[in-house]
Amino acid sequence: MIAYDEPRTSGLAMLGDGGVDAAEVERRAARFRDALRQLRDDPAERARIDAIVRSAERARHNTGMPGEAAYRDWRASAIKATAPALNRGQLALAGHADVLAGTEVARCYLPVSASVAGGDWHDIVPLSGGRAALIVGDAMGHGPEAVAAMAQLRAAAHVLAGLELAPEEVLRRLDQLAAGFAMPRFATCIYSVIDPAGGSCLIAQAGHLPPVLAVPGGTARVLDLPPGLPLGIEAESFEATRISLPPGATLALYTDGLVESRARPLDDGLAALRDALSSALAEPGATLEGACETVTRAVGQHSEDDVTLVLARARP
Amino acid sequence: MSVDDEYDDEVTVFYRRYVGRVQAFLINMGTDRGLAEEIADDAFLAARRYWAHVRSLDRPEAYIFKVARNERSRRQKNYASRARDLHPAPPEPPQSAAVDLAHGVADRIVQQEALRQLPPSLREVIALRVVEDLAVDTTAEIMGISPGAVKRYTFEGRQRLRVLLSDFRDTAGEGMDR
Repeated sequence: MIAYDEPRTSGLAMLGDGGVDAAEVERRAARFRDALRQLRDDPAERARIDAIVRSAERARHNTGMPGEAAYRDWRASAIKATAPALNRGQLALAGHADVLAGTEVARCYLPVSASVAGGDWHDIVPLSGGRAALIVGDAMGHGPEAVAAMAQLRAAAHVLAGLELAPEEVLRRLDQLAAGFAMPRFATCIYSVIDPAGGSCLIAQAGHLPPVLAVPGGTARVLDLPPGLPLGIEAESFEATRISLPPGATLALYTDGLVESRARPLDDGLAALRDALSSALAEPGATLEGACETVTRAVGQHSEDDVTLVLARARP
Repeated sequence: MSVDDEYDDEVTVFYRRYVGRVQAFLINMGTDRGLAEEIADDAFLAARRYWAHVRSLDRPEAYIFKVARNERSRRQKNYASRARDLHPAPPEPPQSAAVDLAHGVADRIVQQEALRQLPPSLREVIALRVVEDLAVDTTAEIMGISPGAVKRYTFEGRQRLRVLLSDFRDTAGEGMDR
């Protein structure tokens, strides 16, 4: 057995001080103090040091070391191998659409690809009085870090929803949670509580794209609600709005992957979503589930991001 | 006392503690002393620029070594050709020094020479992991490689060093005894 971590026995320690003895340290520290003052006062010196920092940051991910290449390959293959399971989890763990008595829900999730896991999530939580919380969120980025952030936010949101906290309060606590992540990572979220008996819906947003409402016989429209700021920046900017949800009206929650891409600006994507949703729901004999799948494929099929669409309406 | 003053003080404490080691690392990597001093100071100034972030890291010293390492390869490219002209090779060690001192100096020179004969990646791992006695994880972070790669390189580097040092000692020993 080879002991890799053998103690310091080589006697090379004498090479370890750089020839800087105690007196030399004092002399250098005094000179360093002057350099600190100059850094504070001189914009040109700050620019010079910032260039050093930027260069080091750029180099960090590409050191060209053989060990690193092997590590990157290993990591990439590990990520690729786990992605399908993570992608399946995105749907399987997301509550049960059929447990709700008063609300019909359909959802669709398209991963970025079989080998990439994304940060989208959605959840359905039954509440008292026949109400239900519908949650759609998106942790920025792809890969294990995004999935880890997403999983924590989804679990927290699920529990907070079950406590029947007000929507803006749920978002406030998720915001605090995200702000404490070791790796800074922003996420957006839309939190809605559907009340089929009252014919209304309460919605709060954290930097998420606005919901779309389709009313039978009319066109679908994008709801203009207070947008809020993304989770993780502790801005305390959340506000809940009550909207009317008449019988037959369908609420659509989705992630940016559905409507936004490099090839298509957001406004065009939203227009495509509204058109597709109106026409899919107007098809004779259309089910909510069928409409959800049709819209997801029609609007989101060329997305470079993962795509989530959740449709909900009060049961007749 | 302002936050700026507090941070200046903190960075200076850090500077006293690590400047010799950062400089030694650079010198052991083959940078000459004058340039090593400059780069070491700049690395600490870089840390000061983002001290609010750097001080919160698990291993702030790794950040400083990392910046120094990158600056070394960046400046060495411009400097290498010029340096050969400006700084001739160091003089041979004095032959008539007192015996204790001679042994110390000789050891140091032998070790330095052995280190320099290692290939760059092994030399760097040994300079950080063995000479500066940094932890495996810290070394991995500085070099941007996996902890496993650090262990493999350290193992290989030590083996080659052992061979190099015994070769040197054999030769030096013959010279001294006779």
